[in-house]
Amino acid sequence: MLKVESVTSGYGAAQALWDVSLEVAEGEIVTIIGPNGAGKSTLVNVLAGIHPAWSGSVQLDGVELTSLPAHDVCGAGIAVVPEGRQVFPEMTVADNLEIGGYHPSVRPYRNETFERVIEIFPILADRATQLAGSMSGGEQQMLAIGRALMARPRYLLLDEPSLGLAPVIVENIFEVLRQINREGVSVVVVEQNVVEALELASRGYVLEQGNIVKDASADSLLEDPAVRAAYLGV
Amino acid sequence: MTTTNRNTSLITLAFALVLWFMPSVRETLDFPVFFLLFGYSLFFWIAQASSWNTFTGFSGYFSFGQGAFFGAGVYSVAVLAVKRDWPLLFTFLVGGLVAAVIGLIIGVVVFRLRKLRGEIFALMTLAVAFVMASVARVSPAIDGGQGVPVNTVELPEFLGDFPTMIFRLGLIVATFAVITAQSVQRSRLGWGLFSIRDDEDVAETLGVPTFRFKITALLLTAFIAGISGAIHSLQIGYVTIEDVFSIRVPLFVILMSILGGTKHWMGPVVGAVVVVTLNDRLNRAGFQEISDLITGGLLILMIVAVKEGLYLRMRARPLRTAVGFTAGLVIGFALGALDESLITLVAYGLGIAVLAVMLPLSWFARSEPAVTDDVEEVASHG
Repeated sequence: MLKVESVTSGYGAAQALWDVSLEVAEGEIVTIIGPNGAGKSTLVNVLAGIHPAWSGSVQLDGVELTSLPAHDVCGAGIAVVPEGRQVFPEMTVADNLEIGGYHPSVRPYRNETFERVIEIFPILADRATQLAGSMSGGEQQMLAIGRALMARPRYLLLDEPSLGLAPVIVENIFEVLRQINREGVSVVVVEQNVVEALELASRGYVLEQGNIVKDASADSLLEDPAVRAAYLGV
Repeated sequence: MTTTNRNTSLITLAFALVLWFMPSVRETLDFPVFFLLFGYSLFFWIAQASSWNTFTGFSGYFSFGQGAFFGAGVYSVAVLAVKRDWPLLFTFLVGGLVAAVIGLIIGVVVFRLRKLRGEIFALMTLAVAFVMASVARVSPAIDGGQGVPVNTVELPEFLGDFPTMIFRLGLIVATFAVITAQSVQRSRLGWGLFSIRDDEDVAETLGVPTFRFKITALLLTAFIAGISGAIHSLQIGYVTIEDVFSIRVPLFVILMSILGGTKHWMGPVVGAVVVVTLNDRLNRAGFQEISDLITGGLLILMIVAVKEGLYLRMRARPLRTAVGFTAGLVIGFALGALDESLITLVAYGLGIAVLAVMLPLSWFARSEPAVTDDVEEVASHG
């Protein structure tokens, strides 16, 4: 269980998160949707440990994450796919994946994890010796997800995985997320692509101006008139 | 990464071993003593540039701290060996340790703060050298503004005459620096540093202990730069604050590394050899005033024309490099370079080889296949 309780955070005088609480159970797919500037990326960074929380707690199965250094958060079982993909452009695909399996807790398994990632994304095997920065956006996103999987996460956290990708590629990537979830990994998707995200997830949170304003099943959010008006333009 | 393995270091060691006997066979081969001093000059800059690159080239954190580390080494000898009569060889080690402590302090303070990435880091490291210079200037125990005559220090006899001694000491440190760079490049530390260079936040979330890795690399850099500086104090003879803490060392290591390429341990070595050789020959030919101008101009050209650095470019175009070098030797020979010195001849070879690989690809052939194994980056991706 990933449990976020009353988290506040921000930058200098500008507060970006006001009292955010949410829960993700083992095996769930949950989405956090919201407009630009709602604090989505700040929330992801707080969960990943690279941005400090001002107050509140983030717990994974009872282990407090906010006090861990960021490089140990992934050892605790959360892997992050950062916004805009952010693969290491000047390293090869194989080396990018290798870095994903960097934490001491998962290093012993990295060959078998690598095999599994290659099964999910065969294209990465073809491109193993290519520089990551020379691949297409969709391929980079697959690499970013594959790299996160190398950390053998129990929770996979994705920040806007659909950003800048063609719809058919987004569909493909979301299908892969379903598959990963079926293998037992909980998935948290932070998205602006509301329809796709809600169709993928079983539950959703709506984040607006640093507050969770709605928390409901994905189906009911899709039907919600306010959500439809704000995000679907209908 | 996989392009350098243990064998590379063994070869480096074997090469160093051969050079070790250079002073012994010098007279038999009828080489002038100057060769040893020139050799030391190469070793000094190879050690400095390689050590700088081990931190900055691999991690992407631009450091001007080389002057501070170098200066710490020089003044460790000046203070401890000259003023306090500590055993000279021991003060070399102390010089390395003092520099490492300074590196540690910089690292612990600066790396804790996320705001101090990028330009601010570069300026901070530059400021450290200025602060050290001021401290040395006002405290008579260190310098007091008078300078310190290191040439009065007694040299251990078993190391031979001065040229032999400095040649061999320089060789040891350069070999150590190069093997350290090789080891880092193929280690987990190296991988971590490369990922930091590309994106530090992402590296951290993937489990790379960025703080520890940056500190470790900076410590290695500082330690080697310090020892190298300590030995260099003998070469300087009379050390003054203005000379030691000038911008020359930090600037030249950057120049050499960028020229040779920062992504591979061999880059700084190539850069140091090219810059030292050309600079030395230009000075000898009476171009003292403009030799820095020419090396500076070369750097600008390189940054524009050969982004990945000379070494990777030469490796990607071995034929052109070889032809350029040979052509340079022939031209040099025809112009009578050999009458002056073997070094002049080599300088012709290096100069023409550099020019040959710098020329755009299209002047020669259609594009060659890109080399993309491991850390290599090729112009076509640039």
